[in-house]
Formats: sequence, structure tokens, C-alpha cells
Amino acid sequence: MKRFDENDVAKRLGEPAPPPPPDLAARLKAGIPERVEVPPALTRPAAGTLPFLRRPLGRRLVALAAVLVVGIVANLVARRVIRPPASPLEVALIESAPTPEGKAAAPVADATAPSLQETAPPAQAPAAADRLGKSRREAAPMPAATRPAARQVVADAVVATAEAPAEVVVGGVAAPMVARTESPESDRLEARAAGGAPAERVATAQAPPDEAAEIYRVGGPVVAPELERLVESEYPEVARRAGARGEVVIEAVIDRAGMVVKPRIVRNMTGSPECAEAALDAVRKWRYRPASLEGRPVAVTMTLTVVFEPGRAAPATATPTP
Amino acid sequence: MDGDERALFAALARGDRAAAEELVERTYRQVWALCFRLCGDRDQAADLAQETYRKAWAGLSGFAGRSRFSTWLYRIATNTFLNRVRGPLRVVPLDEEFAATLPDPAPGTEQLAGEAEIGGRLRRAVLALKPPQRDAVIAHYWGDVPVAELAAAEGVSEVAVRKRLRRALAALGRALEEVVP
Repeated sequence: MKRFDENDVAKRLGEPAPPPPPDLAARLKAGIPERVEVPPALTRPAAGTLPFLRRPLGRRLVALAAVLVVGIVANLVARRVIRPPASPLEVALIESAPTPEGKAAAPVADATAPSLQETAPPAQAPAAADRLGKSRREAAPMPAATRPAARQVVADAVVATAEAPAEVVVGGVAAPMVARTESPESDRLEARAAGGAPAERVATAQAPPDEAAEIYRVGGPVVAPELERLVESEYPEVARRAGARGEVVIEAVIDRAGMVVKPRIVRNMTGSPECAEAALDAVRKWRYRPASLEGRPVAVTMTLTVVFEPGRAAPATATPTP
Repeated sequence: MDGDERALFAALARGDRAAAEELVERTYRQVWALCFRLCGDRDQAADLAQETYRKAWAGLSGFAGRSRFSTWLYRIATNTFLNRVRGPLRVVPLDEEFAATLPDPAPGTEQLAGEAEIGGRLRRAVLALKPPQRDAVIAHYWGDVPVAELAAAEGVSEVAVRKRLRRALAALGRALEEVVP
């Protein structure tokens, strides 16, 4: 028995019909009545019939859903909410520049997390910490001349907890130089935390006018500053209870004394002003070996990142300002 | 209905007979093809086409303009044909008795395996389909109505129309297999 699948049937159904009789058109035209009643709906332009609205409901819903999903994803990507997952051991990642004395190495770590120190041979470095480091480097690429030769990962047990912040001596960071921009928000936030870092203002105010105003880019003859003391940020209880989490990105100037001057909130992913203020308070206590140019200290800008994650210490990173 | 057709209807409303002739000129070939496929006879197809247009002009006030004019004509032609070959409320059967009512010359036994018989059998099988499937096949394959427009005219989704068409094609394939060795 011959089989007829759907294509065979469709093909036979679509076979062309013979041409119409030659006089058919004339006969049909002759049959047009003298007066044809045309409803008004046929004579006026279709109102409110955008092409989108003329589509079937299902297709309209699919189109709306697609637009919604694209918008949400674009928003999350723009806010950097979507990023590689971090393991519990990825507590802190400090990118450090090579130092002649090797001071960048040797974070204070105990035996509970020895493998987290990247000063160990690469084979012992944790893959998770490396992954996090890569993602951050990609987000803020560093010039080859200032790219750190080693990274330090401070273990969870070593980094201060939110309730009991501690100081951790870590390596410094190479930081390309850009002109600092002032913003009312940063001034306001700094004013709220007045007294926390009087030394910065003194150092800036007492610097010679010409040198104080100069801000250099790291690279070439400008040697990057080294982070000598990192103070972990407090995790405000209000923010913790509210479930606030994410990064607070701060731009600041590392002045000629190695102090963090006029930190300015660039982005607050936590959505919590308490976290922003805590991060500002913390970075004001960071100390650097200042950047130098031909042996004399100079001011540079840096981008500092403080990460708030519930259930773990708040790590901090310092990356170059792009 | 596109803006061009609306302009023609607007002209027709002003008494422009040439607009009506233009509407005929644009659609009569497709209407003829549909009528021929429905009945399989040139003379009857021509009569059916004339009847279709006569009904269309008389009932134009019932045309809301949600579809093309040609789509509306296809529906009129189909209904006119079905009303001719069947009595009121009679379901079109696929049996010899029904086949005898169709204006298809009774084929000889020796022709059953021929292409003409396959075409006739296919035509009768289409008419024997369930009404939704039948109407979809007639409009889409014989009336050249796109699926999207057919869906809009029927008030269903395109997926539903395609499903009807798939089921119809499967049923038609089975019907053809019964007569072709």
C-alpha cells in the first residue's frame, strides 16, 4: 500500500488549479450591483491597530515576556549582581604589587587555612580564590607594568569578623592614576564620619599647594603604592538583619603620606547606607606605603572594594582605578 | 484588511464602480481556483464564483474588515458550495452515497488508481473532514490564506490552526492510502 505522509498530501492539495475561463472576470464585473452598501467600518482607517496589537494574544504575551527577561538580565548585569559564585573559602582577595622587600607576602594566617595563601606554590593555591581573582582582574584590568606578581588571600579565620574587626597587614596595590572628581555625596558621607580620619585632612592641607594638587598615574616612573595595613569593615547589624549584601566600591586618593584621602562612594551594591558608611570608615584606616616618583612620594587614586557577605567576614580588595 | 483595500471600499462607498471592479480583478482568480478545487468542474466553478460575488455584494454590510476581502470571499464560496452539495445540518460523509452527490464524474473501476481518482478522492476526503479541519485546509491550501490571517479570522491562535492542519493532513493521508495500492 502506498504511503501518503503529510508532505505528500500537502503537495497534492497545493497543486495549481487550471486558469479561469477567459470571460469570467467580465461576467463577475457585470454582476456588480448598481449600488453597493459599504459599512462605515470599511472606509475609515483602522484605529488603534498597531502591528503588535494585531498579533494573537499568545504571541503578544511571549513578546512581552521576552522583553521583560532581557530587561531584567540587562539590569542585573549592569548592577554586577550576576557574577561567578564564590565559595565560602573565598573570604578575601588582596591583589598586591611586587615589592622589593617582599613585604606584600605573608598575611597572618593560621593553620586552619594554609592553602589559601597564594604565596605558596601555584599548585597549592585554591582554584576558587584564583577564579575570584580573575573575575576582579577582568573587571578592572591593570597595566602590564603594574600588574601584581602575587596575590594574597586572607583566610576567613584570619580576617576580622564583622563584629570584631581587626587589622590585617597585607600587600599593596598598583594603581593607575586618574584625576580625582569631587562629589557632594562623598563630601557628605565624609562629613558624617568626621573625626574618624583627621590625619587625612591635615596631611592634604599641609602639603605644598603644587604637589598636593598633583595626582599621578601609576606606571612608568611612578611606582605603585603598597597597602601596608587593611582594616576590615564592620558589618552593620542593621544591614545584616536586612540581608544587605554585595560590594561597596570606593574611589579614593592615596596621598603622599600613604593615607586614604576623601574616599568617595562609586557604587553601593548593598543598597544599605550603613554598609557604605562602614566601608568608608574602614578604608580611611587603611595605610599605604605611598606611591613614588623618582624617589619622592606622590598622590595617586585607587578603587577600593569592600564586600559584605552575611555569615562571613567582610573582605576588602584594592584595585587600580580604571 | 490593508489600507489599499480600505481606499477601494471608500471609493466604492462614494459610488465609484471602478473600485468594485478593481476588487473583483484582484480576487477572482483565487476565488475561481478555490471553487474549482471544491467542485472539480469548470462550469460549476464559474457558477459558484458568480454566486459567491453576488452574495458578497449583497451582504457587504456584514463584512467587518477584520480580514482581507479575499479571505471573506473564500468563506462565502466554501459555504455556498457546501450548501449546494448537502442538505441542511447534514454531515458530509465519506462514503459512496456521498461521493455520488458530488459533481464529479463517476470514475470507472479502471481509473481508481489513476492520478485523477487520487485528486477526486482527496477532494472528497477534504470535504469529509471535521468542519474546523476542513475549513482550515480549504482556506489555507485552496484559498491561499496565511495561517496568521486564518487564525485571526477564526479567533484562535496560530498554533491551533497549525494543529488543525497537521491533523487534517494525517487524516487525508490515511484516506488516500485506502484507495491507492
